[in-house]
Amino acid sequence: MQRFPCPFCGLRDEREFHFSAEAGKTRPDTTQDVSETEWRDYLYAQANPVGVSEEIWVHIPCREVFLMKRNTVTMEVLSSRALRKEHTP
Amino acid sequence: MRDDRSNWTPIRKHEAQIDGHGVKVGQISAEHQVLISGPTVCAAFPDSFGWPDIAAGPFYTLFVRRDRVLLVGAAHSEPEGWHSETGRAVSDATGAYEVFEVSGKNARSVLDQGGELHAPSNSVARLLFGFGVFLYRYESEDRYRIHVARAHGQALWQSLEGACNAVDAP
Amino acid sequence: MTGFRLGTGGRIDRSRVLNFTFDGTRYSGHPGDTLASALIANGVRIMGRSFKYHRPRSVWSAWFDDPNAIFNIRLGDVHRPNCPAATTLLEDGMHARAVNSFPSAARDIKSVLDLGHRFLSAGFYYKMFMWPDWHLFEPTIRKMAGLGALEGGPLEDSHSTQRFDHCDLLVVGGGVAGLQAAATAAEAGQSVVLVDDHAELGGKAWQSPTVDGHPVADWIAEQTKRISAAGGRILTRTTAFGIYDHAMVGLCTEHGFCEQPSLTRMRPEKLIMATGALDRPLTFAQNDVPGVMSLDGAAEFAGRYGVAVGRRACVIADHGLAEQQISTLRDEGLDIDVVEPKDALPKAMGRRAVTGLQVGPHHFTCDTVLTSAGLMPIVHLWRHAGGKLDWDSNAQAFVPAAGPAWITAIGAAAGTFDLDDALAEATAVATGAARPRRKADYCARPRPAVLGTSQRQWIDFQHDVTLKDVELAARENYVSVEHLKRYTTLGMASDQGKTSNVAGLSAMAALQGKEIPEVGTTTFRPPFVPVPLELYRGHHRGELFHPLKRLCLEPQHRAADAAMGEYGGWLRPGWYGGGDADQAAAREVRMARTTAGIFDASPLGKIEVMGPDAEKFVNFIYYNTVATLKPGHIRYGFMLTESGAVYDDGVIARLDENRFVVSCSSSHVDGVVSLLENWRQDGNDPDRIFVHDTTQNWPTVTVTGPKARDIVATLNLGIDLSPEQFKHMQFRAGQFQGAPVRVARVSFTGDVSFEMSCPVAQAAALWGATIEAGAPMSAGAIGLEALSILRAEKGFLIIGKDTDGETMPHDLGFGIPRLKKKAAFVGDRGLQTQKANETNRRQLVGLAVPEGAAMLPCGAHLVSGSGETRRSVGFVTSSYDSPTLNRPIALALLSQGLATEGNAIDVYHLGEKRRARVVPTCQFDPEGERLNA
Repeated sequence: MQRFPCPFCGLRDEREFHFSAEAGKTRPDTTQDVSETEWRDYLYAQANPVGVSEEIWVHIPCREVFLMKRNTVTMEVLSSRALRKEHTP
Repeated sequence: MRDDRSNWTPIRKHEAQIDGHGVKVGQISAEHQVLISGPTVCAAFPDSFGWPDIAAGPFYTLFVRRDRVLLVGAAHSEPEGWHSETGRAVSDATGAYEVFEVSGKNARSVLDQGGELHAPSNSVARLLFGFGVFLYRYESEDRYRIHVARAHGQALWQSLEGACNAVDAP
Repeated sequence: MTGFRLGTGGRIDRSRVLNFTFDGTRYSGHPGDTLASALIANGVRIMGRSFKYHRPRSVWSAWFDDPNAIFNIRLGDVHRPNCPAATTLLEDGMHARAVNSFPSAARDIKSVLDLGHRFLSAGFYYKMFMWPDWHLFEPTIRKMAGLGALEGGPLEDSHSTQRFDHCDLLVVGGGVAGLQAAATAAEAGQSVVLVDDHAELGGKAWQSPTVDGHPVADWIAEQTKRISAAGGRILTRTTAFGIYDHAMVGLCTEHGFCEQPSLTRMRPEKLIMATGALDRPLTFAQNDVPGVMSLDGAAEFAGRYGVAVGRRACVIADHGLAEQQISTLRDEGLDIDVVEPKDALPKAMGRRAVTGLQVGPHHFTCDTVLTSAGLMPIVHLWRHAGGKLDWDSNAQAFVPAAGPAWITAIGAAAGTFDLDDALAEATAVATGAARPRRKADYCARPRPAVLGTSQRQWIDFQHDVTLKDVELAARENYVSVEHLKRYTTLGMASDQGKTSNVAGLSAMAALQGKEIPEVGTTTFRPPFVPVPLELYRGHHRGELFHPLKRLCLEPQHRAADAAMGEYGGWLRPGWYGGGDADQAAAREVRMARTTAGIFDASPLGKIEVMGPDAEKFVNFIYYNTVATLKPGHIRYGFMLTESGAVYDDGVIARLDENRFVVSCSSSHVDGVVSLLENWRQDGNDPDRIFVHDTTQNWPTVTVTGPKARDIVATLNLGIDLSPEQFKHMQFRAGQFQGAPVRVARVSFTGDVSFEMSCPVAQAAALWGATIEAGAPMSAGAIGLEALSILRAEKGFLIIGKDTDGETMPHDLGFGIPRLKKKAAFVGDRGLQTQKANETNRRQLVGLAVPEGAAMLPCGAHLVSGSGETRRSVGFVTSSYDSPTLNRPIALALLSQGLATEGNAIDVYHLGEKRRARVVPTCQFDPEGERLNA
């Protein structure tokens, strides 16, 4: 049973968390033209890396949306930090 | 559609108690519960409690998120709504959460069946028996309070009942 | 000549006698016995039949590594299949039966299968029984496979207590090394938990009279005292069955045959693995005959259970501890010949029991053959945790090598077989000191497999895999150890290769001319030993398996004889007054259209969105334009997914400039809160938007119908209810019994409706007052069934019922924002894709049936074309008999439906063909006169 570190609440049982998305995707400005390819990639293209992965997770009890770096092979959690002002465009 | 009423135990009375196996469980009436959110709220209520802090007094605040506290036991000075001067969003939650107390020498054994509670935490919000709760100690090490969404009160009560019955097992 | 009870010794309580039966015959034993030890003490040899060939078998060893003696056991009302005899403690009144044998292990009618063994070698089901058709043989072969059988019905309430636990140090294994480490660590101030799978601690210590110069019992008692005095905990009958992610250890604790085991999810900071070692079986001819046993197992039967496994034994074992074990057995009175076969292939003689051992030209008379090809450290937990193994060629065994920092192996589990070495090592490791050098030099004589003979040499006892099968696999080019395993099924039985894996690797190594470690090691996966499925059944059962949300007004509904059911995750009233659902619903619909219906709408979402950016935010979340909504007003809207599909519909109310209440549908509240929080924090400034879910703080009583206004008026809420002052899609604040009430004019029925939300404390009173006010007007409570009909008469959709995962707002007739809304919103780009622009998209329409026809089946297909061109172009999503219109109504998703209004369409369902006509979705009061009254 994995434990993940919510940036505010600390280490908690993995069942308190929900995977949200791969990190690094920015929503295209839809008030401008967005090509089909760009939109498709935004919605569906996943890097799915073997090894270190940067991901956005949600801690359900406190609803914190945060960035977690983990290794998808060894299950090691490398870091987590809040996805706050620093990351919004 | 099927009539499933007999599949669901009717909701227990407010005064219902579990007493035995070294643990007592009952529901308490919270006079006031208020959600207060805002970017500086946690700094504004520095005496709020996390886990495994022991809250005390007729009223107190609990850290729920990095930008939210729950005020318990007293009305908040600001009415419901958004307050731009203080940067606070306020909502009454008095009826939104049922509050249970679990106390006695086996209280922790009961709760240990509902979640992994060992690690300290800034927040009292967690999952217990699968339900979103605010869990904290109140006035002593062996006395715990649990706030749960009212609609889940009956199910959490039944979970606590089952856990109390199991607590004697070695 | 068979086993017998020794006059003294063993950890059994000879003063009490326990009675049991095995295969119908009565026997007795003592507390402390396992079924295996009790049977041996009674002289029983044959305890089972092998899986494939039904050869007679006895136990190989004394604990979990025995692959042979598996019983179905009944005690009182409790029946458990597949209990290993060697690890099941004897209880009075047990009735045991060997699995896979009929009528008994001793006399099994399928033993004739052994004569056909040539046809049943590895992979036989791929090669034999193919002609004329495998399916002719398959049912019979499947029936013959498997071991124990389930008997009786399910144990309805059986479940395990499951708890979480934590400690500084978990010591797995209560033998000498584990006890020493636990006591040392506990006294050094660590919170220590020691677990051992036996009922009594000591591990293999009972095979000798003393430990470190003290009588064994005294030494163990001393360590136990040290541990407890220092606050440590000892859990016996507890198996650490697996290590899972992030250092979580699964512990299974037995509480007796008729009790369920309990599960502890232990998260230790550190773990010491003192799990000991077991014998590697020697591979030789007929090595599965009853009476061929593990040398260590025999010593264990003597030391722990006071049982001699035979009277005259040949011993083939040449490793560092063998001499000690042989001497122990001689002291117990066994007559022992130590045999060293060198290059000859030994052969056990006898079929139902060992009668002798043939080694080259020599024949040794004996009733037991005790062998060991060396001791193998029990490293499963190490491997679960990702630790690596090294091949120690001196010890001829795999030993723990590099591993995670939090877990350390000591004692026999680490390859430290000498007692004094183990004690010193345990003391050092427990305090984090460096591991001392071993003084004793344990080594084992290499035992390479003897290939190419016609003899049958067993590798995997439980799955009946012989050396010939391994040779066959190699001939058929299955050279990787993973293929070997799966082709021969070696190591795949319930014992998971504990006694067969290394023997199998040794055989492969000999076949390929390699060393054992070059061939590879196997993967170990939890659970380490079989654990009952009940272990995983905790509190999530019965009502708690899928707990429904409960209404605070439920007592009122039950008192009114409401039929309750699940609606969108809540337990809600379906209809009132008991009786037939359809009749009750029809009655309630007529009442709601004639006077008024009163229903509990508490689950409706009430999610407050507040802050300086609230307006911008909700305008982004919603498909419709919300920014122009004025305080005091309410607007209907959709929330979309980013691919443009409708996720939820509902209304949003504006309280003031910076405050909105999102009233999403009852079943989607949690999802909408999630959606709002995700967008709030990821893509917006969370310091300027706040989301408070106050759904459960505000129970809601809704009155709907021509008399609704009159009823609400009697409640004296302090609100001007006149239609000019309080229009449809507006809300007002009032008060009820001194508490605040929010009243919204929103309608799900098409008649004038007032949704009254009040605090929990006033809910019962508000409900009661409303019902009382309605009674003289013949208005009353209505349930969800009636509500479903009322809304369908009006063409109001239910998300997920009248929409599917691809339905977009313009399919539902809401096309304007897609064309006109300039601001960005969730799903905007998704509405402009090729797919979204297709002209044949399924659109929501109504369906009418010919006069007198029955209502259409929900889910029926709408069909166009015939013969080759016939295909489904849509389906019926909602269908009811309308009491208001006195005819059936239906809603459907139909390709190009909006353009085909008035046309007839074929309806197909379960072989039956019907006709329907496409009509507008709204069949009741299309002008909206009733709604705006």
